[in-house]
Amino acid sequence: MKRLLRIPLLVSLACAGGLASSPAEPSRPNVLLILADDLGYGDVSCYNDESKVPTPNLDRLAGEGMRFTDAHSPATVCTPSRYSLMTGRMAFRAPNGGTVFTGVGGPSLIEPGRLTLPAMLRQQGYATAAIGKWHVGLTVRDAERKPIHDGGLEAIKRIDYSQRIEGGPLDHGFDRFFGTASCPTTDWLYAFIDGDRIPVPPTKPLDRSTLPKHPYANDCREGLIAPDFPMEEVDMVFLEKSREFLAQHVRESPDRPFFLYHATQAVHLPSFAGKDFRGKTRAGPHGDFIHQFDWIVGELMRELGKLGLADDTFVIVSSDNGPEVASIIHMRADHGHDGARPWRGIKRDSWEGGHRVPMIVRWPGRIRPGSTSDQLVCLTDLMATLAAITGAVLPQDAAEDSFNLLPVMEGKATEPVRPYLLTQAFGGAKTLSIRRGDWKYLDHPGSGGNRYDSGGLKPFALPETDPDAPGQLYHLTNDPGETRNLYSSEPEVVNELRALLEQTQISGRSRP
Amino acid sequence: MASAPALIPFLCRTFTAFVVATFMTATAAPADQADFRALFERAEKGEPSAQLSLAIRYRDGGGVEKDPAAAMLWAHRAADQGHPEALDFVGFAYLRGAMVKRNTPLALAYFQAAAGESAQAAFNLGQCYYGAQGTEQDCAKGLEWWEKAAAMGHGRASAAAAMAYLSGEGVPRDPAKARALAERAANLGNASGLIVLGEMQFQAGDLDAAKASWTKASQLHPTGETGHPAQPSDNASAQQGADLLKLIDYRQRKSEPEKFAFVPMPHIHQGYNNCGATACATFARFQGGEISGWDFKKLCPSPLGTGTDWWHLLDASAKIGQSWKLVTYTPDDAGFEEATAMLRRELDAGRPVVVDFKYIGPQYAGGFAGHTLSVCGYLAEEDLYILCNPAVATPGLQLITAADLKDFWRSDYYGAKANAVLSRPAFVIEVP
Repeated sequence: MKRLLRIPLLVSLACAGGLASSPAEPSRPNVLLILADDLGYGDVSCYNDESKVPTPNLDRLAGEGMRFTDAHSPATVCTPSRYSLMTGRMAFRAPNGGTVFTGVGGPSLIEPGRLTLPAMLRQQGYATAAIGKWHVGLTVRDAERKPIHDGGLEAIKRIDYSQRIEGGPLDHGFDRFFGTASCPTTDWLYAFIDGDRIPVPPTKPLDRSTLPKHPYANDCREGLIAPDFPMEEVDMVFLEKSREFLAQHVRESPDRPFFLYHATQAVHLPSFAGKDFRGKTRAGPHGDFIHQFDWIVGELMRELGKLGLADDTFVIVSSDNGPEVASIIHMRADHGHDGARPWRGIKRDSWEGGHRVPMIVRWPGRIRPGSTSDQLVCLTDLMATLAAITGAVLPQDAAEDSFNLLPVMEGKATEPVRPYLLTQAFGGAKTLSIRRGDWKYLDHPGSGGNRYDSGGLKPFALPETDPDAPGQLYHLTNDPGETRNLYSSEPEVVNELRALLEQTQISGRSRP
Repeated sequence: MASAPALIPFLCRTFTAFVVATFMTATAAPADQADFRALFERAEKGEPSAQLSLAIRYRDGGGVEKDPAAAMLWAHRAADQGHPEALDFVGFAYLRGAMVKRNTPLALAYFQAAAGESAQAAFNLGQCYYGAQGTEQDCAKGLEWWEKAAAMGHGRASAAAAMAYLSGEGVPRDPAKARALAERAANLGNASGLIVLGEMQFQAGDLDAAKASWTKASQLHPTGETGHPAQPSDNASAQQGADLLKLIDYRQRKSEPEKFAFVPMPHIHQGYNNCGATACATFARFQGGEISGWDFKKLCPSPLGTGTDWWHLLDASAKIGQSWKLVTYTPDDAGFEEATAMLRRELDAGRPVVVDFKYIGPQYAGGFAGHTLSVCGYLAEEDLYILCNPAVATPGLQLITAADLKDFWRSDYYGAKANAVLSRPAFVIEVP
């Protein structure tokens, strides 16, 4: 097992206090990408010293690798963010690219023929697997082979489970998939997809009376549930499937590298922490759920270690967007925990809390342990980064918004790797923002997502400092809380950034 | 699977030290202390019912010093485990703002979580929808939850739904449904339901049945000659029963100027925080208008579910063609004499008067809120006044002594704002 034999050398180099020299030739480390759902910047202890939720495994991972403090999800909601992660391209450039699927969702946002992150790695010889939540869209059909893409319970009832699911992970570069179409425990279809089928179809209505009752559990809609679908243990099933994949991979194809994309249900509402995690924190059910996510990260790292893969695996942990409304307003009031700290805004919003996310990478021998980077980076950048690592050549019509972060991770970057950053809020192409250096321009008024004039977010509304302006301009170094809109006082900066935004929309890319 | 990292011991130690320190300061008898310690131990082991009991003890000072923070902490422990009554406890704390900062969206979410299993939470959830607390107003949904709560055995919810259907406030008027719900509430032994049922019987001319209902209501909780204006709702309903028994005769007689007056007014079931608009709608309906309490509120600029400024009420009355006048009296004895003289004049002339009472609940500290209701009669010999209060059960009638009226009829908020000019405010019908 050639690859495994290299490990002791790498370990000894790391222990000696130095880093392994960067090979000129491409390498092919295993890749483990763990994506949390709705995990906020302030939900992780090593990002928030006032966090009420212990995250020892994430903290340890940061200690063993690099912690990015200015990392961003491309969008502030699940579906477009995951599209961008998989393609290295901003979702607003795709048709219907601002949508968020419910139920089975679909059709797939990823256009047929587009090179994806897993497809690129497969071309480089990787075994690829996705375990967990997909949520980029797929196509199921009814008995007459008509596609079903409606939300709601009635659509689920029409599914013909004998037919192949199209447009899912297997059609976009993954060799293996086990997971769910959309949010696993939120809406309509409560069943696992294995490959391109639902082997155990739902048979009965979801009985919500037996599920946990608390304010973090309200986001669970009616639906049909399969007999093997454990509403409160979905993440434990995903963990087991990832373990199985890793063990099988080591057993059957030890000479091939793998790419495992593990996308958890945690910590998307409803907060159904597994039975072994309930009451394990003093931060309520959602705190327990965050803690469970952290534990899962630790378990996957332990599994890598057990299989002798830990030192030859490039690990990335991040989140698809900021924390959800209900968890924010309740955690702040109930437990004094702020999942968006220190930023303004939350999931759906254009403000930092909507898209500035935790991002931790670990790659022994290549990334200095305990390092921190304040480079402006985005989840779209994983594709170009892994292309650089593995020697893949990105065609011009792929990964249009992806930048290679390898120089940053290796501590060699002396300049920003990104000229600017694009993000899209809940309103999709109508709520874009652009960041360049200290300046951030929001091409819309207001949050771009949540309403702050009523309901639970009203207490967190800030006064409009330039109420008649059609957009917002903030200087993040001087004003990280995005409290002073400089739109009217800095027209030149606004014009420059708006022109840049228009140019990147017209050109269809930000990568040169 | 491997067990999750054991974080609890350290956290528990910190917490235990805090709670035991609190416990040690209690001055309860040894038996109570043992009882409390046993409860504490059960709570500490994670038993949600014990955690809730502990929360109630800390809230009420049962065998331990009152400690709102500890009450909320233990209630959260139980609520986090999905204990329905604990969820309701936390939700109600947020709704009232009694032990925590008032936060109605949070309250709503707690009630939603518990409403399927807790009749009290279902009732409170109905309150939120009906009164626009933490959500957009949805009276139909409010009624739906009250009826669900009633089906679960919640008498007050059944009575609230009965009153809404009887007055047609927020829902189409449905006397038959109102009757059935009032009977359900009465059968559940709810004093408010008995008051409503009694009024329906009274209106139908079945005085014996009305007397029986009100007698039963009056026996459910302690009553006095008259009730204090600020008392728990069950006690208020019982007292209302006693007052209605006393008023049966007066309600059937013609007023005798300077001796007694009774001016019949319609009663509208008041939504949360909507006393001002409801009292004014009642006043307008008395004069032949058709407006509901919520529609009156919508004529005012403040959002549904929030208190209403008296200036806005006066503006709103003009919008519906009413001709009311704001009159005020000073807070001293002379002012009260003048005020009551005005009351009797108006009532003798067959016109009720809208007044504002001071508010003494926990929700609005600082006295900037009040409670608006009408005075619709008096009994000179006993120096009593008859109120038509939208906050109590249909028909809203209750008695108040002149002494209590003197104490409560005052608006500290307006008084402070207007240099005492509005210390005893009232709306009277402007007579050309």
